[in-house]
Amino acid sequence: MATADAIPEVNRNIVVLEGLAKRFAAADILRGVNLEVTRGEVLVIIGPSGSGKTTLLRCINFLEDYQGGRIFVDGELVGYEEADGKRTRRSDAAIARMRADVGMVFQSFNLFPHMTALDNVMLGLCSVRKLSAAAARCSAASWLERVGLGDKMAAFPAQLSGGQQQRVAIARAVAMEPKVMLFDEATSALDPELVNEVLGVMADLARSGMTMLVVTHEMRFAREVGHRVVFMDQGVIVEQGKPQQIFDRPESDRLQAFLGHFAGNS
Amino acid sequence: MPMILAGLPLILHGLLVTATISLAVLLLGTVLGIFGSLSLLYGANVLRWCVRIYVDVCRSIPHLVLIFAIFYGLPALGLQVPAIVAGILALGLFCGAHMSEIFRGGVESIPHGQMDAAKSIGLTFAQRLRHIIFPQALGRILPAWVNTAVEIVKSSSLVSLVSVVDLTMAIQQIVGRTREALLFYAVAAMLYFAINFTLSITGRRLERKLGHG
Repeated sequence: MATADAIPEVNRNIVVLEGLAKRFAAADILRGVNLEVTRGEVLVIIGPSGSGKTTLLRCINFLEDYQGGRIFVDGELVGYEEADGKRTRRSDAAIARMRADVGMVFQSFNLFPHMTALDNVMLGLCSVRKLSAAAARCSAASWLERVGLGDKMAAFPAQLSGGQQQRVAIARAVAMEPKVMLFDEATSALDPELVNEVLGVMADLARSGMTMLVVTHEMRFAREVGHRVVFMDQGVIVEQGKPQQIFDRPESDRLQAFLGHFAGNS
Repeated sequence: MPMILAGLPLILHGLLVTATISLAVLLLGTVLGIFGSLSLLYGANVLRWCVRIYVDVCRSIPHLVLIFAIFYGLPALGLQVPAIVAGILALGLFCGAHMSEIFRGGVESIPHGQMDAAKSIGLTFAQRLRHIIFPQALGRILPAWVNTAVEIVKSSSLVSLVSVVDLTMAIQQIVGRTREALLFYAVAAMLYFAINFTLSITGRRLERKLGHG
């Protein structure tokens, strides 16, 4: 613990949320969330629907703007510039550059349907990372092989199963070599028999030392792969701790009630 | 037959004028449509309001009134333009308004997740349009674009009312001289049909080709 404290905070925490607040129309979605994620940590976020989990992830790569608090990724304020206490939205190019360092996997895959699996993974490498076509193809191909789709590189998304599509989407995000990966209910849209192939790829990434924020309803994954579990409800973090602590000795009533819904299949 | 031959140079001239007007209007309309739809979709409030007014006004006025307004209106403002230019401007303004809505609809029909995914890999706004939005919008827009092109070819005959010698006017002049209304209007109908049928067929072929993406 003492050595960890000696490391400068900016280096230790790859993602820092300070009092993050987000309001949609008249509803408070996030009401002051504080969170620090260390490099290499797998943080699993659980909670009932509408608790703000997805919005939290979307704010981290600025798919949503936020009104209150601050988000830092690798020490850099996300989305805004601050001067004299006033914040202004950063330029399109600056926001794009930051997003390139934050990978995201969506519930609905969101592959580009007019491109092959290989082209889906290559696009960011060529357009954003400015790799040559040959280098991008090489990297994209190796990532597709790593997620078990070496034989599907020329396939279009419509020709792939949901599980295969989501694995391409993971390859597309990870190939950018992001500092942190965000998973937004990555398996919720999948048929039950396809869930494990995607969770397997995610567990493989976690073992490789990738920093991951995972919103999921897969409690077994949370328990076995997660380093820390955060329980959110109504826009705030209610309870957090190691998986065993959260699942075996939940303290708050709300967490106990939430976990009650999963009794029998977790 | 000799009568058709005698009228041929004028018919060909008219055909050329009709084709020129149609192409110019479609070009102008497509360019206006691209800027108009992008303004409606992503523009700042003021720009969006201006374009919305332009679109709604131009789409609500009969083509002929637009043509007259520009043909007789511009000189009143001290601008002398040839009748054919006035016609192209008027129909181009309408076409641009119509295309703005078509393109906007095409882009809006692309699921939001596409934009999210494109943002999340760090593409800039221009890159997102170029790599993700435009290629997918193209296939959705094409059928409506071809329909509009067909409408524009037909509407181009209205410029004959400001004395441009397009295909319709050419035919009218020949009929005036020869009194062979049935024959020459049949020729005109066939020529319009030939242009538009070719357009539709080409459009359908392109659609099938793009359908894969």
